[in-house]
Amino acid sequence: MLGKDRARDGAFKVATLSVSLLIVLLSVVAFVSVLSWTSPGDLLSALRSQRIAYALWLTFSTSTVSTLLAMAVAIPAAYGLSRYNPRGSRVIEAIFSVPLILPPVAMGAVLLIFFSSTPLGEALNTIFGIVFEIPGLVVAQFCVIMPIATKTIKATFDSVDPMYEALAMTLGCNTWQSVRRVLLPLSSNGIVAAGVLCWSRAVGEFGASVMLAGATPMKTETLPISVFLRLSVADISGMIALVLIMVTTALLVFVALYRSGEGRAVVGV
Amino acid sequence: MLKVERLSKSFGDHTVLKDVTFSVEDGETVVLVGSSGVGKSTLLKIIAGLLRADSGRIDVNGSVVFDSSEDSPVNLPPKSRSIGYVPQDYLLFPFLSAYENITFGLKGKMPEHEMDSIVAPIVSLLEIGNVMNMHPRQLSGGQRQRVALARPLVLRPKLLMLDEPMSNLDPELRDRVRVEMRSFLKKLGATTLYVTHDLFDAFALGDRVAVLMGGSVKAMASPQQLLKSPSAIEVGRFLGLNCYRGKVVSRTSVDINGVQLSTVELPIEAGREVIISFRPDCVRPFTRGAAPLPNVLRGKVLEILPGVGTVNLDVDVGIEVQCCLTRRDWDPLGVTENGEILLHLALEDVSVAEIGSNHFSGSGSG
Repeated sequence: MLGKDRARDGAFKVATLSVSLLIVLLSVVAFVSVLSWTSPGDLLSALRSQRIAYALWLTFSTSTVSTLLAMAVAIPAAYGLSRYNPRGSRVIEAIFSVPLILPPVAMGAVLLIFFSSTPLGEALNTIFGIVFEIPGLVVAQFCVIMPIATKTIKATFDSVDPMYEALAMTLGCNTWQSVRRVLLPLSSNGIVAAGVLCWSRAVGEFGASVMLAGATPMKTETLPISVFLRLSVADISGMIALVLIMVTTALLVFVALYRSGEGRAVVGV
Repeated sequence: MLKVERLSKSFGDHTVLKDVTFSVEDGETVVLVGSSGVGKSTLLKIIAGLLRADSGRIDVNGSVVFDSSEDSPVNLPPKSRSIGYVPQDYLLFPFLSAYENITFGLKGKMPEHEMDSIVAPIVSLLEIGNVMNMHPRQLSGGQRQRVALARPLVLRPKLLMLDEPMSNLDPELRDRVRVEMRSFLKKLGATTLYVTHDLFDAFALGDRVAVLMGGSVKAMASPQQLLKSPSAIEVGRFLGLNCYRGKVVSRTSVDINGVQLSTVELPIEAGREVIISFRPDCVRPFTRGAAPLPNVLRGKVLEILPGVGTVNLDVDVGIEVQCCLTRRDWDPLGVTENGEILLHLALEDVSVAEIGSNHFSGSGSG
């Protein structure tokens, strides 16, 4: 009986690991087959082009700004929802979650209408120059990633025993100090994870960005928009170069994230 | 030092605390004992200022820290109450070293070298100098407890409150930590309010023990006094005593549901209703050779609960009596469940108190 159980456990282990391996294998095959559409020379010249350098800079800078803005909003919002659990908090959370379900293109359309044909939106557009401009990219990315940030950070705050903050208050802290000195360090893993997830999502954001900021080459041309523009003129080498950059970025970011998580676990945070 | 007066707290329709009144004297350790969910932790959180009571008043060292009265309401924040609080599981900050945990409350209030001069004597007293650079997960249960004790102590609180600090320790460690805790509390001489559901902790650590039941303090006395004379039947039963309502028959006997017990001479009139109590270890079971003693009761063994060094018996002698005896005394008896047994109870072990009074008779041996 024991031998049979062990054999069954072994088969289960092989089966589940095989699924992961299959996914990795399919991804590699797909990626290599895309690479075969271009030559190393074409790829190198595409990678060296000024347009890709601009797209890269624009993507990373707008994603960083939108992530910082999203975190600045999400941390206090998540704290309020987690610690005060106000009446109607479920409704508030549902409203926060709408962008998760709404297709990004639809979200972009809503934003475009708001900023171009409502008094408040028009006023904001006049001040910040949002529609078909670079700030439009930040706004679009912010709206897409903010729910992710809020939900992830709220889940992190929920998992921290509020008694830690209460204890800090008996040791001389006020509410703000207990958050800064205790809750935030205890939540650092979750906050970093939320930041990385948001940044990654912002880097890949296309639908809302293209609707609100347009797809103007060398102006509002982020990496995903650049992929779209290259495909529209059948520039396969350029498109593959962009995909290569995005895949490498994604791999680097997530490997770094997992490593930092492991590092913290060792210290006990 | 600490005075709690008529403190009440409800959560919705559920009343957790009702008119809780007690005090802790300077330098004294009071253990607040009660079953799980009776409101012990809620009471500590209210005293610490982490929860607001619906009504009542709390004084710490002569200063009002909470008062619900309409004329002069007071509700000081936790940091202004001068109360040190050690919660369940200690809750050491895992991202800080032991030293950083201990100096958490001092940080930003004084330069580093001043901090060291405050921390050093407490660290030395608690013998944790060698773990200052370690993180909480690297500490043993006993070391964690001492760091958790040191953390509020460096702020020189007027009152130290400990909320079931040993509830999650395994039994072996718990025994050791209990001994250490008693020693540290004595050395510190701090005014301490200690909360637990464990009677063993309560009797080992408390100068006085307060019993919290049904949302209020039902009894408060020294451990010896409490065992000798519980103020109510439910208090006696909670403390593990045999405790019954009965009537005085004569100056030297009482009746419990038809079972008569002899007592030392009582200063209570015949016919009065009384609370009668005696400790399970004062009941001596035997099977033959009954001497002509008073208080020999014949009964049937309902249940036998063997432990490592002791055996607990539940015996029906007309009333249900709990007995506790050592294995050495139990093994030769050879009695099984449903078997017949004789119980003897010495006169001086029977405590008798008038209901609604604090007057108790019987010497007890607690």
